[in-house]
Amino acid sequence: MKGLNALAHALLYIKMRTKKSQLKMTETIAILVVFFILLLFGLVFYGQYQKSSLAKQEERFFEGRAVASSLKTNFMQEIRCEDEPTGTCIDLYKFDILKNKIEEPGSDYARFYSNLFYGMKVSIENLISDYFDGAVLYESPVNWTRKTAVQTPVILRDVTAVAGDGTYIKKEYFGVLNVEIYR
Amino acid sequence: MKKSQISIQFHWIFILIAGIIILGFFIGIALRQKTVSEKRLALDIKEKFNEIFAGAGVSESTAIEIAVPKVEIEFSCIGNVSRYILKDEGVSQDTVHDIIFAPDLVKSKSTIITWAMPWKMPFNVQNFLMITSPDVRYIFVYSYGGQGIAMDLMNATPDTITKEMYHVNDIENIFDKKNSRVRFVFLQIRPQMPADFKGVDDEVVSAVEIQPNRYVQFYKKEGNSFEMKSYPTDSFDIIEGDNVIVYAAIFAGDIEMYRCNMAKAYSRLSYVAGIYKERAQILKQKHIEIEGEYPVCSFYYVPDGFDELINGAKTQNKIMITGGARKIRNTNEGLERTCACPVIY
Repeated sequence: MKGLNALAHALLYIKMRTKKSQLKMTETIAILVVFFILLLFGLVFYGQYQKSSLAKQEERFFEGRAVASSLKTNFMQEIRCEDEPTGTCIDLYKFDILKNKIEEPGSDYARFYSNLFYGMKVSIENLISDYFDGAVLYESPVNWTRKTAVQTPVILRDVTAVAGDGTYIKKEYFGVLNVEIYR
Repeated sequence: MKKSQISIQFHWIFILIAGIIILGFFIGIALRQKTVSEKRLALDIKEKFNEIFAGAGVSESTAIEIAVPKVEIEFSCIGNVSRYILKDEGVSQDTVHDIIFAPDLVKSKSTIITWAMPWKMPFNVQNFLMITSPDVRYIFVYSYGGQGIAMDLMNATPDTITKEMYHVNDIENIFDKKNSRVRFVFLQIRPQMPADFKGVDDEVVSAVEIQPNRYVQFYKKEGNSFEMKSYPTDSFDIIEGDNVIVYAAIFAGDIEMYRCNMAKAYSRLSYVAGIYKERAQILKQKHIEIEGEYPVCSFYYVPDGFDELINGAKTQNKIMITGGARKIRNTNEGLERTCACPVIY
């Protein structure tokens, strides 16, 4: 009887030990699961942060490209006044001639300048005088999802205006050169 | 072995595997993050260079020393395709419409130098952008007749570039200073190799020979001497008084870069000249209408020279370009002398 009791105790002890180790194992696995869930959360947050910072960086590049393109357009000899080294004066004759030349289908000008202004719209706007409203030099035929514009105040110059006394004067209007970049 | 002992061993093996997995996971993320960061940094640098070059390109006749990170930039212009590559970052940028003259390799320790010069023929056509770094060494060598020209060129180039001037008799006193690139500029004399440079890598040393108002010739170091890289019929006639193309030759890495960029410049010249030609015709017509029987300004708007200039630009014929440009300049000067007539350019 005594022997049986001891066996029963021993079995109970082993069973308890097994249960205890199983419990420990389950506990470890649970900790690991929680750990990986937290890690996953961390990764998702990090991924989101990376995505938004990448979008910000792309936005910064896009803005930078727009400013660079606008700067280059302002200083293009094809449209700027010859005696204004600051890139803030547009010769209306040159602007109009270039516009007409670009609009000639299949011309060398159309090919060259559509490549130069790819993904852009370049236009001028007359802000004060009612002499004319403005004109579009070139508009790129691209499907865009996002655009940014850089506006530069400029003088729009007509070199063949005649004053009341019959002398030639440079008539100048206050306007804006709009350079829009598409993406 | 007791069951408890097996359990303890299993426990440790389990911890080891889990540890390896977790460690591997974090190492993987760190490596990936490193690659992404490097790529983003490279793109960031490329965009910054785009902005720098755009800004520098419109700053006429201004030399700017720009602080940049330690970087190696390779410039090339082959055929009609020009680009620069940030060597270590592995990113490149095409410069389709920009006219850039630079050594094939610009190593920046902390700064690069940009210098934009307007190319006038006779009106402004486009700025030429010269790019170099203080690590590139320019050595002007002159003979008895060429000292004045050497001085003029030396003084006109930015003070920030590394430049020296030697008489040809002192050529053996020129010693290698381990620069990344060395450009010899020989004025009115055939290139000679200083003894100290004979052991330097061929790609490091190059030369141009300038014969003022006649031509420039490009040379590459091959062993112990300079070898001409253009043939006599292929030499570049210098347009009289046009110093900008002389500077372009000094800064251009090789003949290919010079030829390729000049082709772009001539192409642009033909377009800009076409606009000025039409503008002159419109001005003439306008003034005929305004002035009626007593022509004043309209008398001067002779579109002489434009066709010659445009055809010269299209065929890269320097004689025609020079002739056309001179006629246009004379017409413009006539208009300037006549009171208050709008000028051609």
